[in-house]
Amino acid sequence: MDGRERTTSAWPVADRPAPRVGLLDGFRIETACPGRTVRRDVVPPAVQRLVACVCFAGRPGRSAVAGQLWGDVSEDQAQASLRSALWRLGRLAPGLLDTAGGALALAPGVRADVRELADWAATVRDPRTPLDDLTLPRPDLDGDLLPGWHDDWVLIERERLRQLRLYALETLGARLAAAGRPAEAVEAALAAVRSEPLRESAHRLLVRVHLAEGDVAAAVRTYRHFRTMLRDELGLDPSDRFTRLVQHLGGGGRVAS
Amino acid sequence: MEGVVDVGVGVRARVTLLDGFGVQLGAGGASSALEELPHGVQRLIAHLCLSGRPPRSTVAGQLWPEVSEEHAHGSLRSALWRLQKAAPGLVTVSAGRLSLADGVRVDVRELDDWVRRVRDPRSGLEDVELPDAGLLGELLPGWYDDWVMLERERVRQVRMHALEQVAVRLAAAGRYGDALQAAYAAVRAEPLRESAHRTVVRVHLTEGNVAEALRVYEQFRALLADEIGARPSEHMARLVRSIRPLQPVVR
Repeated sequence: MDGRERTTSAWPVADRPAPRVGLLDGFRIETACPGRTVRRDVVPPAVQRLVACVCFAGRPGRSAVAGQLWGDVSEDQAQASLRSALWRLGRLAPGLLDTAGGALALAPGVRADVRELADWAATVRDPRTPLDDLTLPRPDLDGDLLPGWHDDWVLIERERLRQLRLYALETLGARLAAAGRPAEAVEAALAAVRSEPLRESAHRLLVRVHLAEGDVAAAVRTYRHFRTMLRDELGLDPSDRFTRLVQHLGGGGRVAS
Repeated sequence: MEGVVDVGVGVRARVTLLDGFGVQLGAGGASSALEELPHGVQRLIAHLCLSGRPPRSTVAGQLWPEVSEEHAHGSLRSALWRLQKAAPGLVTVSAGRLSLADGVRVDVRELDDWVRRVRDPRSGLEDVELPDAGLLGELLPGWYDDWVMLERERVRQVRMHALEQVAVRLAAAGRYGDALQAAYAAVRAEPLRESAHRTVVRVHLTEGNVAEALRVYEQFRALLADEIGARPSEHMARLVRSIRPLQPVVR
């Protein structure tokens, strides 16, 4: 009955690599055998949706999962679809889910990239984390959540994870800059700019890092580049807050004009 | 069994009901999980976690509603007996009433404490930080008793409102990243509610992240149109209309 404390794990963490669910940049299941991945095209869509849904909850009840994934049919039909998806998953990747007690959870020891991303963000945002442990996320955590999926809840989680990563990158950049590590700070800010080219807060950070280094030319270039892009794409100007950062440079307010 | 109080075990014990039933006994500092308890015992513990100091007859009636009173009392006696063997002192029986022993912690009560702090205008931001991920789970998933389903819905509602409130306060304090995560945690509980989406849009606008504000607004508008054929409120529409397009740019 107790999901967290179950000791009947099919995947003892210490003994062998545990399976890992990947949702960023597309669905995949990496099995316990190193290097063997269950190919996406052999996992039916319903099974993919089931696994993805469980990765975002702790230990939801079956009816909550059935309601979320098959909300447009009767409860009986939804439960039947869930049973069938669970059965097919059991054949493709046995032991991936803990199905005890009418609830569903990733089996103990099973990892998920979306949870690793959240752990990384929590580490970066925790002020107690020592500077040496502040790192950029691993490249395999860069992708968007389940590209091409249009379920409402996926759109919402995709946006949430994007913001989680972007704010963590900005926090990371600011902390590295304050610690006198501008090169890495620039890298963090650029990672945020790359994923969201029209994001002002990421550009502001980049400009602040350049200014902290005394690199006025780079700061002005960054500001102007962003302003051009924003005007072209949205017909808008950067916020006053951003403009004030660079306005005083070069004298006579010419930079921001 | 009346009046049996074994304070020793109860003191450091913690019962979890969110994301599934569990009991940890804090024997000698180290926390050890209780071996799997029979379902009847789990229901008894869970019920006491969610009620105050109910009389035995109320407990028997709620937990065994479909059998005779006599039978229900028998089942309760048996569950109590097994409970006292597995976790002596976790539950106190006195004057015909049952309750959790003093000092036993319950995750739902911790969640309620957090909600109380959130609602209290005098509490500081450090008191209302986002709750532990463990407190965001579903109450007793897979249980379908009436008293569980009512309580599950109550927990979901009060938590969602508190998360929305925390999101607003974090945003006001300039903690935009945390504010967004709180708002999205509320959205998860009720994807069509506008207020949390509005907080997200407002945070993006405060940060000057206009492209993201517009994207999130557009997504919410499409979601609402698809699901219930409605439109965002004027309140929310005004937020994005406040974005002033440039006069023709003179370069």
